[in-house]
Amino acid sequence: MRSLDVLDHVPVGVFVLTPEFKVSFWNKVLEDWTGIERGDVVGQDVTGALPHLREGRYAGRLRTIFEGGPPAVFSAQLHKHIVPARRRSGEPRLQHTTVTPLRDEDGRVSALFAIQDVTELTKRSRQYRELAAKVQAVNVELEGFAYSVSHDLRAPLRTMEGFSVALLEDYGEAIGEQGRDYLGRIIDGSRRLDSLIRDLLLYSRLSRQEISITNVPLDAVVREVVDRLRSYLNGELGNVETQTGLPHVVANRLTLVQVLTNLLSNATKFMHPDREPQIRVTAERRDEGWVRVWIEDNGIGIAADHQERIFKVFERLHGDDEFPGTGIGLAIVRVGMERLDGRVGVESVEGEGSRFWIELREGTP
Amino acid sequence: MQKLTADQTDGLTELINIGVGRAAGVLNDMTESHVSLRVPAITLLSQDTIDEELGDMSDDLLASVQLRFAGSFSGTAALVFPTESANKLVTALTGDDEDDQDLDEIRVGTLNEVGNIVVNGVMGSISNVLSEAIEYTVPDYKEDVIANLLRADTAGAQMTVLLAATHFTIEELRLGGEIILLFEVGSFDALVAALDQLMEE
Amino acid sequence: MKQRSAVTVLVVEDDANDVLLLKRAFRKAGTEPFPVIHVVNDGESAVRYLGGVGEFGDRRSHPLPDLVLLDLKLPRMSGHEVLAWRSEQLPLIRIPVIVMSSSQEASDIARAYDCGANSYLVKPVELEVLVEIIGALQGYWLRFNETAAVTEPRTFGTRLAT
Ligand SMILES: Nc1ncnc2c1ncn2[C@@H]1O[C@H](COP(=O)(O)OP(=O)(O)O)[C@@H](O)[C@H]1O
Ligand SMILES: [Mg+2]
Repeated sequence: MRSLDVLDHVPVGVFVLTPEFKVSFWNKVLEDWTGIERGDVVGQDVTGALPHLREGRYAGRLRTIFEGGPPAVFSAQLHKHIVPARRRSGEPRLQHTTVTPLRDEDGRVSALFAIQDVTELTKRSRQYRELAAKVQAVNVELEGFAYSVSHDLRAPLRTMEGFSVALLEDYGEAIGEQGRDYLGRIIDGSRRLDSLIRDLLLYSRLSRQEISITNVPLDAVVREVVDRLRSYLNGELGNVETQTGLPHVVANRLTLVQVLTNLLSNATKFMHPDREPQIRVTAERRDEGWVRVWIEDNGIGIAADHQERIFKVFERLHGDDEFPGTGIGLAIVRVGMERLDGRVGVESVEGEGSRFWIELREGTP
Repeated sequence: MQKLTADQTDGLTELINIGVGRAAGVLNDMTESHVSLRVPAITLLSQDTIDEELGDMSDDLLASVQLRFAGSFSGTAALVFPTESANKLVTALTGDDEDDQDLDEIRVGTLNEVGNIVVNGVMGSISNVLSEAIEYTVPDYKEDVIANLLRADTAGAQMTVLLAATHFTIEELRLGGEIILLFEVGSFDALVAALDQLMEE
Repeated sequence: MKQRSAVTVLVVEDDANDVLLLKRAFRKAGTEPFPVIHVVNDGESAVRYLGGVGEFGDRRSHPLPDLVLLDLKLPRMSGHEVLAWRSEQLPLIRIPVIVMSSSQEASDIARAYDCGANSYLVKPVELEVLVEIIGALQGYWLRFNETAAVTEPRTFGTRLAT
C-alpha cells in the first residue's frame, strides 16, 4: 500500500478497509475525533472498533467497492455514524462519508473512507429552517392582520361618511351653516382615514404578495400610466413630455405601473405656484445592463436634509391643507423597487424641482 | 444519434430494471420503508431534444447526482430529482415530518446518497454484462436547469442520451413519483454488443 | 331587455348600517327597475333562503331573487362558503351573485371568482360613489343582463336540513 500519511494533514476523517474487513489506515483526524489511536486499530479486524460495518446494510454496499464498483455515499441523515465520534461538548459528530475503491500495486481493491464533519453545517441548516418557519408564521399573522383591516376597519368609516352625507342631504337646511361645516369636516376626516387605510394595505400587500418577473415594455407602461393619470385628474395633468423608444426592462408590470403612478402623481402634485408645471419622463442606459428612468418636475423641490426620509412610511414635508396625501406613496415606491431588485433615488434643489429616478435591468424586447 | 432495435431496447430496459431493483433493495435494507423502483420504458435522444422531452420542467432548478465512468462504455450517469419527488423521497426515507421544504444541506446529503444508490445499482448491472472493469470518478451533486445538468462536461462531442423515467412508490405511505435516470455517452455500441452476445448464449 | 313585473334582490349583509346605506343608494340612484329588497344577515340564512328551507319555505313571501348581493365576512358561514355551496346547486347557480366586500385583497377576490362569483365590487366609503355603483348595477344586472330561468328544484340544502 502506498503511503497515505499525507491524509493526516487534511481536515477529513480518513480510514482504509481491506476486503477482509481489516483496518489498514487510520488518520490523525480520526484519532482526534474518536480517541482511538492508530496503533490500536490498524491491522485489526473492523469488528473491534466499527462492528456495524459488518452488518448487511453496509457490508453489501462495501462489497461492490471491493469489486471495483462505483463509489458509495453514506449521508448524515440516513446513518447515525460511520465512526463513533463525539465533540468535546459530548454531542455526536454528524458525518457525510464517501467511500471509494483504492487499488494497490497488486490490483487488490480496498475501500477508502473519507468522512466530512457536517455537524456545523447541519446545525446552521436547522437554525435556518427554524428561522424560515418563524418568518412564515409572522407572514401568516400579517396576512390575517391585513385581512381584518381590510374587512373590519373600513366598515365604521362607511357608516360615518354615509350617514353624515345622508344627514347633510336630508336635514342640511335644518342644522344651519355651522352644522353643515361640521358635517363636512366629519366627511373629510372619514375620507382621509379611508385613503390612509387603503394606502397602507397597498403597501403591505406589495411587500407580501408573490410577483412574477418578466420583460416589460417601458414605452407602453409609461403611456398607460400617463393616460390613466390624465383621465383621473380630468385632463389637468399639465405638460408631460415622454421620451419615445424606451427600452424593455426586467420587472413585474403591475408593480412598475404602481411605482411610476406614484412618482408621476407626486410630480404633478408638488407644483410650484409661480410656474407652469413641466414634467419629463426619460430613460438612459447605465453600466452593466441597468436602465435608469428619470421622472423630472419643476415643482417645489426637496431640501437635501429630507431627501432620504421621504421614502419612509408616513414621512411628509407638508401639512394636509397645503398638499393632500398620506405619506405612503414613496414608501410604496421603495418597497416596489426592492421587490423588483431595482433601485430608486432622487436629486433635487429646493425651490427648483425634483428628479426622481428608478433603475431596473434592461430586458429583451 | 444512435438507434436501437426493438430487441436491443427491451434488453437494455430489462438491464436497467434489474439495476434499479437492486437499488430499491439497498434502500429498503437501510430504511424501514418499502420502496419499489420501476422503469417502464427507455428513450434514446440527442442532446438537443432533452429539453423538449422534459419540457414542462425545463425551467426548474433540479437536483441531480452524477457519476462519470470510463472504459469500453464511457460517459456520465445522472439521476435527476424533480423538486416534488426530491421532497417526497427525503421525507419518506428519513421520517422527517416537515414536508415541502427547501433542500437544505441535510436533505441534500440524503438525496446525494439516494442518487448514489440508484446510479450504482444500474452501473452494477451494466458492468456485470460488460465483463470489463469500468473506472469511476467520485459522485457529484449539482442543482441546475436540465439543459445544463449534462452538457457542461462534454462541450463539442456529439453525445447520445438514454432517458429512463423511473417510477418510485413507497407502499406504506401510498406515495409515488418519478425520478429520471439519464445516461449520456458517445455510443452504446459496446453495451449493445455485450447484450446481444448475452442473448445469443 | 327584460319584461318582468317585480324584480327582487337578496342582500346578504350583517352590518345594519351597510344595509341602510345600500337601500338609500338604490333610492338615490333612481334607475329603473327599482327592486324589492330582501335582507338576510348571515351566510346560513342566505343558503336557507335560496334553498327555500324553514322560515323561507313560502316562495310568495320569499321569492327567488333575480340578483344576490353578497358580503364576504359574515357570521357563521362566510360569503365564500355560500358561493361554494351554490356552485353545486344546479339551477340556483344561474342566479347572478355579486360580491360586495370591503376587501381589496387579491386572495379574497381570486377566491370569490374561483367559487363562481359573477362580479366583485369593493364597498366604497363615499356614499356618492356607492350611489354611482348601484345605479350602474341596476342598469346592467337588472335591466340589460339576460338571466336563465330557475325552476324550483325538488330538494335543497341537505347539508343544512336539520
Ligand atoms: N416631486 C416632488 N416634489 C417635491 N416634493 C416631493 C415630491 N415627491 C415627494 N415629495 C415629498 O415627499 C413626501 C412624501 O411623498 P409621498 O410618500 O408620495 O407622500 P404624499 O404624496 O402622500 O405626501 C411628500 O409629502 C413631499 O413632501
Ligand atoms: Mg404621493
